[in-house]
Amino acid sequence: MFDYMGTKLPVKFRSFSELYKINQIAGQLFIEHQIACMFGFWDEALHAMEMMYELRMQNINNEEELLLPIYQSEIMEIPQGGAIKFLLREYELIKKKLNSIVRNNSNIVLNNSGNEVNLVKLFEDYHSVKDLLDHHDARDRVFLYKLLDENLNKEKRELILREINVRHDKLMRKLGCRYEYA
Amino acid sequence: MSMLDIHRLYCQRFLDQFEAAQENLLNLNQSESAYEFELLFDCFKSECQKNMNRLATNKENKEQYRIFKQLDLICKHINKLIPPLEYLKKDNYSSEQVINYFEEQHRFKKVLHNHLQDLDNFLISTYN
Repeated sequence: MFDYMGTKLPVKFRSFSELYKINQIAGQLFIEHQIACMFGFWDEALHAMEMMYELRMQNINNEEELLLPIYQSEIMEIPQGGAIKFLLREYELIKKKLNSIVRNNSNIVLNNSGNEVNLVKLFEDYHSVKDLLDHHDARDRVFLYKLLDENLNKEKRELILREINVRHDKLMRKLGCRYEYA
Repeated sequence: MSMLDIHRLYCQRFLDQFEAAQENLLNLNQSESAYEFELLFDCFKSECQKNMNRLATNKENKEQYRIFKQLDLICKHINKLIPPLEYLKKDNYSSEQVINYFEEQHRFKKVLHNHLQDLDNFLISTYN
């Protein structure tokens, strides 16, 4: 179990719905980043932002490469709100926004220009990004994860989850997160 | 200058001062910012209500009625933003709660920006 600020991330994901916890932890890292900005700890802010970015990007890559192809082929009637075009559009938008805010943060740290940052403007931009992420996470939870959990047979589900678990384990090692085995 | 022209200027001035108080809030001066917000909200709400009373007499004019409804919405947002000030005054909010409160304010500001946009459109149409 990896425990981050009270949210527990399992060592292995056993269902697609559990992937939602990655987004939850990414959300908490976003807040940690903002708190560090408020205190002027820009290195820590960048670190939290980069961790959040890696988790989010991994989840998006998993969804694009592993989940969407099978979602498209296996779910006979995809509800309107879970349409693939919406998911793809949101992935693009999220990637664009996250790349932009990570670049912006790196520049602040590199140029040592934390004192000049207008936090009101910065946090208002963040609020729009967070709204987009919340909206997308709800779509993931209500449609993508739920329908895959309900409709895939055991073999297919385990095959995909195994690949996700390998990728996730690799990322957690890269980020230096240590699991506690209960 | 019409009353809506004056109101528009008032809104802009309010926004500038509001943002200054928000800077204070995010720079960890909870208590100081809370007193600033309290004063700003109090004055701005009176301004909105004053204009609502004037506009309420002319509900047939669609544009004016729209502005009336927006002022009503602004007052409702302000009412939601006032109670947390008591916690801020006592420095009782965690950093996360401050961020949540700031985001609630951002929603309010979006309504205010829409209002300003509509005011502009309305004033331009009356000049023409």
